[in-house]
Amino acid sequence: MPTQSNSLRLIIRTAFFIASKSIQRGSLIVKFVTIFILLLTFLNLIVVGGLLVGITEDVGAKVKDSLTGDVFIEPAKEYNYIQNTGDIFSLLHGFPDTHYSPRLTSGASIEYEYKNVDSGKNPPRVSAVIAGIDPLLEAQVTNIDQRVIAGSFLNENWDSIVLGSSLVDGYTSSKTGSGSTLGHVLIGDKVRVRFSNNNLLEFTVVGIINSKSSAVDQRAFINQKILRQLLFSAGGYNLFYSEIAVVTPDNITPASLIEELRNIPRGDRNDVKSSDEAIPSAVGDLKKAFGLIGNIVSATALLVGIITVFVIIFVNVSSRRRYLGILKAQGISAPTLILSYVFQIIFYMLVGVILGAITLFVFLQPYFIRNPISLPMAEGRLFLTSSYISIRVIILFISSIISAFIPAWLIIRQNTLDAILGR
Amino acid sequence: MIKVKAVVKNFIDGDVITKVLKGISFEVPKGQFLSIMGPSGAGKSTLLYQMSLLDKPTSGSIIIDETDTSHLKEAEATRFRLKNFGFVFQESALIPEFTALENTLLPSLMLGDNYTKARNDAVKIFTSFGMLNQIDHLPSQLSGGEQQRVSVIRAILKKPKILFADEPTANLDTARSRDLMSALLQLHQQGQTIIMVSHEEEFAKMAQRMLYMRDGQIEKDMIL
Repeated sequence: MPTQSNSLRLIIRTAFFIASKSIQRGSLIVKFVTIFILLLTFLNLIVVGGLLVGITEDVGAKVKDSLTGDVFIEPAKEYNYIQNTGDIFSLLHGFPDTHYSPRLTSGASIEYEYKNVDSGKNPPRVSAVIAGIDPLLEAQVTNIDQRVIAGSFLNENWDSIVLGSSLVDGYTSSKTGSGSTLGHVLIGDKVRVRFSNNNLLEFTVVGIINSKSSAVDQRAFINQKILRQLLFSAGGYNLFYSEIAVVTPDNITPASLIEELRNIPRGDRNDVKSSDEAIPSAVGDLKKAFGLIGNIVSATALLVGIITVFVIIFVNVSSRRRYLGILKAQGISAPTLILSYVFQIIFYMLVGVILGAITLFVFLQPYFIRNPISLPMAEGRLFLTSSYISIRVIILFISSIISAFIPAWLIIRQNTLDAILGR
Repeated sequence: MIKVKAVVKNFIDGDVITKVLKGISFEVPKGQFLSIMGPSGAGKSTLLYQMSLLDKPTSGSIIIDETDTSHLKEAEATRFRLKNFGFVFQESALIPEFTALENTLLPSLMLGDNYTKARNDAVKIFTSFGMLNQIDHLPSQLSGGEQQRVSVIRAILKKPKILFADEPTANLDTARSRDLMSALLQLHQQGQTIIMVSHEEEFAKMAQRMLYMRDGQIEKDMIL
């Protein structure tokens, strides 16, 4: 009697022999259709989800690049300003190649065309966060100086103001007369800002920025010194800051810096977060929603793909029922015949994945790099990592095996004599 | 040695019970060429299916070389067939994308022969059957007679103890039927046990012994 392992070896060997000959000389149409479906299923699994994940990743990246940096410090809820900024700055100075931009922010309302409006009518007005920044420090931490779509970035002039694109009309396709903006503000126009302490000051618009991060594009930027004078007329508040964005070099992990920042005296009075943690909740919800949509689309694509493969294999096995019955009569076991179909589908899946990978990396990925899907909050590119692709290939591998195994098992397990006689 | 003991086979369809085999008993010694003949519906193919373990009798037993096959499970029966039986059916049913040679190799590979040995054995038999030139032909490139001879080669390559043939000449013209029968007779002369079902008296009488069946029973048992 053969041992169990020897039997298994013979089953695998014979199944491989049957599968290899079937692949070699089987119907070209069946081979082409099966590979094409598996190729499309692979692309569906990767591309649709990859684009959606790419959009959400870009949303997060935009927030990081334009607002938070790698580490973002805010005051804890019960405080208005960041505590112990002196120690924070000392600590940050100790890390080489680490840059930071401390900001002072204030709620304010901005008015436009207030000189031309008829008496009794209100000028266009929006509420916005006014961020007082040091333009040089900001440029080392974020990229908003490169996101200017009209005019220039903030200069040293005390009355300069840069408006986020969400506050104005006409600069981006998504902002056209929404009614919650200042209207079509031109570079060089004057706007009037009323601060929370009722101070009122006129500024000259020097630039419009569009970072595609809503938290930034709803802000207006002025020089920090001016804002500090306006908010703290009594002076002596030079270390009052509302937020600090920090970028770290590659050799310093944000997590380690966060740990140290939390451990400084009164560090617990600040909210120190990584860029992921600092993403506004709406953006976080968007990421979750897109991730869910991506998974649903991928799951649907996978289901359609494996059902199609199931049907192809079912029809193929059904049409060969008599041959398979005669092979069983000759002593070729059912597991051998089922395994031969599993081997065939593994081969077709590998070919489909290889062709899919060529399509993906030679055509689709370069295409989306050159032509990203432009959305108001992000640019959609294919998000492809080895783990992202590996997981989907494994899912497709397992699903393909199941979609071949079940129809083969359903037909081949039937009575041998019935199969031979066509009953 | 095959012992068929009081084999009964009934087919049940709802309330209707059709008694196809009515308590058949006989023995087939090793090396005998037995033909089973009879009119349509006599139960000759059903008897062959019981003896070849493709079906299970309602009662009775089939004992092959001291093994009572009535207790074998499906997988055990498949293994038993692999080791002991060869089959030739009415239609050759060769796998269309396998060459003539490849169609014959599967049982030998399943038994553990390596490819080279199985191939060399097959080439010898193809040569003796005068089919060496067709060895790499696909079934679609072979005539009906050639296909049936390949199915005989497939059945005997693994040197089975018993060769079962179920109406092997049914789809062949007279000349090709005679060719096939001469091949079976040649195998019998080499000591092969053959059990063949046929409804054609000319070919049934070429066997060493003939069972004539009618209505599920053996009417005549003749040594020819």
